[in-house]
Amino acid sequence: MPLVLASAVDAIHAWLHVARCDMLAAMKATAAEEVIVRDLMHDIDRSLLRENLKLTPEQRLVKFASFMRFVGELRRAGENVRRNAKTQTL
Amino acid sequence: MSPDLERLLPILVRAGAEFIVIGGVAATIHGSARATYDVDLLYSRSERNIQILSDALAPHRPYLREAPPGLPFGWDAKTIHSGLNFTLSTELGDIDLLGEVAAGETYSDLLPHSFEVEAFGVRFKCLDLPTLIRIKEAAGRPKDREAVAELRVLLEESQKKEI
Repeated sequence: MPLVLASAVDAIHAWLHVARCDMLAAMKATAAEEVIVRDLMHDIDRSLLRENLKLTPEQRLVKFASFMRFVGELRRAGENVRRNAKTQTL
Repeated sequence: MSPDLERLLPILVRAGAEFIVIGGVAATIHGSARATYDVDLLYSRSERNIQILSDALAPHRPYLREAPPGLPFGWDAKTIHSGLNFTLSTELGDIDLLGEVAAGETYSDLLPHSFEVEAFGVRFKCLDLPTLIRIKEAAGRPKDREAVAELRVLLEESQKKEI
């Protein structure tokens, strides 16, 4: 085989090798991600989700809005406690 | 600040804005039990919709979240046109206005994967569960893993319910 052709073939082989390695790395990462997510699925409290699924989408949103209002109240209460503690320290 | 959905969604719908609810609030609509502190909206980049979003949100003082106060940030059609994805804090709570999602998909790409929801006296579009899972997976963020796991369980549970 002429020298030029041989080095072109080598270059193509090298490029294919890198592409194969990249593809394998991506597949490995995807597979690892899949294992993590599958593991996490075991820890999900299905009873909470089943309760939510009994509601209509609107009821779920209303429940969420009311919960977030509650969280907001708690956050404000926490801020007040921290502010008061700071004032007392000064 | 968590979003005031009871005010935000009717304001946008009545203004005629074209958007799809995605992210954590869409997950809530599908039955997720996780809390979320902002609302993610995938919006149409049409000239008309950009003008509608600019007019509808302007009175609620949108500002770039995490940006230092006092930046010369004006919320108008030109700003929306020049940008794509905006993380905003407003008087209605934190809103992420997205022109496209992780895989580069836009409003028109995902419109066929949305369905109508009625809540707070208006009807709006929400992303369907399989697509919501797909775009969360495409984003590939470690912080989304638990959310993806929950959404997959929700998909399993809803399929069981249908049988």
